[in-house]
Amino acid sequence: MENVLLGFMDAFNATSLLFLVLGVVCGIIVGAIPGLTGPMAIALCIPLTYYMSTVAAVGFLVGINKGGTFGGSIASILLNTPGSPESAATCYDGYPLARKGKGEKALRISLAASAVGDTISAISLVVLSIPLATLALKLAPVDICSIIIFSLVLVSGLETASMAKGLIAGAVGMLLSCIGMEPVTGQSRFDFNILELSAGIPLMCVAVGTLAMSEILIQMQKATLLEKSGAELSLKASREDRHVSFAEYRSLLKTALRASGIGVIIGVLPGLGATMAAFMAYGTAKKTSKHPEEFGKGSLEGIAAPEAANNAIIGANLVPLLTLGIPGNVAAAIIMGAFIVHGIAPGPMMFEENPRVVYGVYAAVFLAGVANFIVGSLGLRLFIRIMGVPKVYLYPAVLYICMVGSYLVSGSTFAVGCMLALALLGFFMRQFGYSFVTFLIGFVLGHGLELSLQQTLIMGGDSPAAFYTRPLPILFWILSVIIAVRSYRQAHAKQA
Amino acid sequence: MRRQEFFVNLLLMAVSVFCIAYVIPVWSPEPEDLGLAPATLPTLLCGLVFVLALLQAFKGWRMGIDWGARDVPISKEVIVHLVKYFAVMLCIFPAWSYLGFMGGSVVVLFLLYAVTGLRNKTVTGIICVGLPVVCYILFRYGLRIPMP
Repeated sequence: MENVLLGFMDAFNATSLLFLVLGVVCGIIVGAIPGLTGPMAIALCIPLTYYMSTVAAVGFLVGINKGGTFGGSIASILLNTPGSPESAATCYDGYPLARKGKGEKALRISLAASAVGDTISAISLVVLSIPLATLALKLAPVDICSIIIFSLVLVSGLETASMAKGLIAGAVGMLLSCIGMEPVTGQSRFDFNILELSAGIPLMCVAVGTLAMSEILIQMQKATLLEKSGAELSLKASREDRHVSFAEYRSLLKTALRASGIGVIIGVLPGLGATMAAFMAYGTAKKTSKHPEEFGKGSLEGIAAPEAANNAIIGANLVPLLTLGIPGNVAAAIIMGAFIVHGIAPGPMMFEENPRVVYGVYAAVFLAGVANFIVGSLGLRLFIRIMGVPKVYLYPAVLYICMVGSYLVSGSTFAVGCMLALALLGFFMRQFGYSFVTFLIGFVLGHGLELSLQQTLIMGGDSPAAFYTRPLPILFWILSVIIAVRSYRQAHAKQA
Repeated sequence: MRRQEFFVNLLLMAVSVFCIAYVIPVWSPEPEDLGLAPATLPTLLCGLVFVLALLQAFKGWRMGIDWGARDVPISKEVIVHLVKYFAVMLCIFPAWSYLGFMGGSVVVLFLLYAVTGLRNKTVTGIICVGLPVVCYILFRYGLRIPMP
């Protein structure tokens, strides 16, 4: 009980709350600008978290993620251009409503549905993570090893059209994670006599280079840099067209709750992602609606469902991260990096060694949802104005911030060089269809995979028998093979 | 399969072989008595990359390679675009060394805006000076990080 109170105090102190609100504001602004996404903002903001407490840092990053997801819906509704991939499903009904002069109403529904999704995901995080962590404590290193490989196969199969490309990206990510200290003996490896490399490549450089800078460089190729967004709210709309009545909120609650459930289930499984959850929730809402004919023409349910689902993912994604130390998506991978920077290894041991932090994170996730709702409601018009800034002013500034952010990692220009090299790699990976998500998750999980492999072999006296005698690894090997074969068949069928 | 994709697979195979034959043996520490040798996982990963790239290249070869494809992932325009931006971004190293954080940042930001093609000089000026000032104050005095 003492840890619960201390954790909540960490989350409720003025500094943590300030950073949390700041994170939400940053997230909404970045998410609202098409081409910039929440995970990109998380990567850029990691250096700022070095100087925060763990709870404040995670609250700040979760705030950016939640804000970014809601921000994505602003562009989807007003411009018919998803601010982030997970908001694509919101375009179907959001934009038709905006064209009818009901843009503000659509945004308020999106915000309310996001709040429902946030709340359900925060509850699911609390309810699921403690029993799962207890279970995870009983896992042997060989089980962890098989779960990591299964997660990578799952992500590789889903993130790219070609399973082989996904696996190559994951393997290259893992190879890069091998640079630096070997996990058991602590001996330096692949440092090429460069002092900075003996500590490994910082996650921040990998995240900023492959996630943010490569994406900006791709966006800068497009000829739309000077265009203003043209997003605006209708000022002539009646009160009824701008606001959502209590009866409308009530009628949408069931849809939002169902969509949140879908979001939580998909969020707990690594690799499936918010975009899939949003489209599945949209499809389910259409099937179960009393007015399916309104979908695609400005249905309120068509906005509530994807928005509740893509927000429900955020908290649920933290479940495998906190309980197993396995990030389910890019945002969770970067948040994992923030934990590691603060000297905390996410995983079942965290619940025994740092319960105060765990409860603080729970509270921060709840608070981020509340802050997202309040900030979104109060600043809606301001965010829409900021969206209008032409990208030609924005993108060079973001490139510069990427370089400054990398410098802050180690206080040397070596990190900037690393980041630029990884940005080039990320650029080519994107151009040739190799998933940077799998690459990043491979990089984050590489260390854990090698550690669990080492522990398994040391515990078994150099015998690999544990890999094929314990039931859990056998189950995950079979599942991995099934997923690999299915992905191969799907890709083959598509090509045919 | 387009020719560039085929060459990417060949490049992946070549890099994997180079890593297995030279980088991993030379730059890995000696193995301990028990457990996985430090070179084992990297070798396995390079082997995996080699096999997957070989399979992709073979599949492409069997299905036919479009040697004359015009719609390629990396066109001349893309290379010019990359060279332009990377040349400017690499200037950050000498700029920070010789002009300090503020001076170097202003120069590099101005160059970035120049290659992007910004027309409004007032806005460019405000951003080029304002952004490094904000970053400097935030990091130097707010977070107490030593700046270049």
